[in-house]
Amino acid sequence: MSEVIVVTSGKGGVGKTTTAANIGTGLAIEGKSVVMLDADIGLRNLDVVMGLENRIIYDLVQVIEGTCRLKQALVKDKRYEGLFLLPAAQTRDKTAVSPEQMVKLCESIKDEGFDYIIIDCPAGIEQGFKNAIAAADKAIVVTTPEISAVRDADRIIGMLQANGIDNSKLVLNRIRVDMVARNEMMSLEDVEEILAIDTLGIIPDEESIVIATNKGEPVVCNEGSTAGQAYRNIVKRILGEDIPLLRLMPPVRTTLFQRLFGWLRGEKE
Amino acid sequence: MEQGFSGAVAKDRLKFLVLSDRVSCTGETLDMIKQDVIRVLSDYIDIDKYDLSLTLEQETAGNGSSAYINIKIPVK
Repeated sequence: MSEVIVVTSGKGGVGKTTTAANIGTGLAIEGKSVVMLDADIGLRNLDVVMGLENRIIYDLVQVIEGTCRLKQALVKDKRYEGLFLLPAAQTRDKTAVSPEQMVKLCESIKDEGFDYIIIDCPAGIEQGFKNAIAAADKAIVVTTPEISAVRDADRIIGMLQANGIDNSKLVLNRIRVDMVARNEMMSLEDVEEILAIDTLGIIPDEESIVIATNKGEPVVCNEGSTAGQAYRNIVKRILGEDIPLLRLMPPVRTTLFQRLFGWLRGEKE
Repeated sequence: MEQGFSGAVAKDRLKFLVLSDRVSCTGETLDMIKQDVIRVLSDYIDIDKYDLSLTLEQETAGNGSSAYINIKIPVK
């Protein structure tokens, strides 16, 4: 039985695609068969974050229009067994697809026996959003601890409920523990209090995520990264394990000597 | 700018934004309600319209929360 999970946020640039890529890859690492579906038609990026941009032949719209078969359009990620990407079309727009067609498309993916379909939702609340949530069983709402992002997340949670998706889970992205400690950033507790949904995970704001995206290798594979660990924990929670949230610690203040030593080794601050 | 409190400021501003989104009531609407309240009440009693406060607030009880309008009207 496949499960369809949409990764959404309302506001753009909060880390939807990164989260979708890491959850999809993480589930594959755990031995699940996964299709990552990029629903951001016209502005596809999931392929780039996954490092699969050079392997695309067909896209989602072509599958829906019958120009190709589903299997031809699925890009197999050779690094992880059971991981596939269904790319969005880049030269079309959101109106090329209807919610009903998305439901039908997901049904045909389910028929292939995949464990999970992870849908990367476009920003906004228009057609693209409606397409992306049409087939979803569950939703993951990504936000950052900023007023604008949390406000949009609240609206999205309301719209998901209006569409019968009640049990949305929160991923709080780009937390800076040092700023929270100084009370210059809202904490997880603050955001939870306002949104009133359960938390699936918190992701620290880390260089490793930018570096991972630069390389097209999701950070979930990086054993040494705290953000990677945060995504691995999220994946385990999706699989039903009871894993406590990471206890993020503010960075230790370095002495002048340590910094000097760092500079000598070519580290950047 | 005062240092060390912007997290709390953000939370307060956000609370109002989210609440006003949820009940589709903007600050502008509240202002209009306020003007109407002043107009109606002035027909009956002498009120201090400059000290009148009208705010959208939220009450959390049990597992649900409800929005209400809190009006404070000083009578002269």
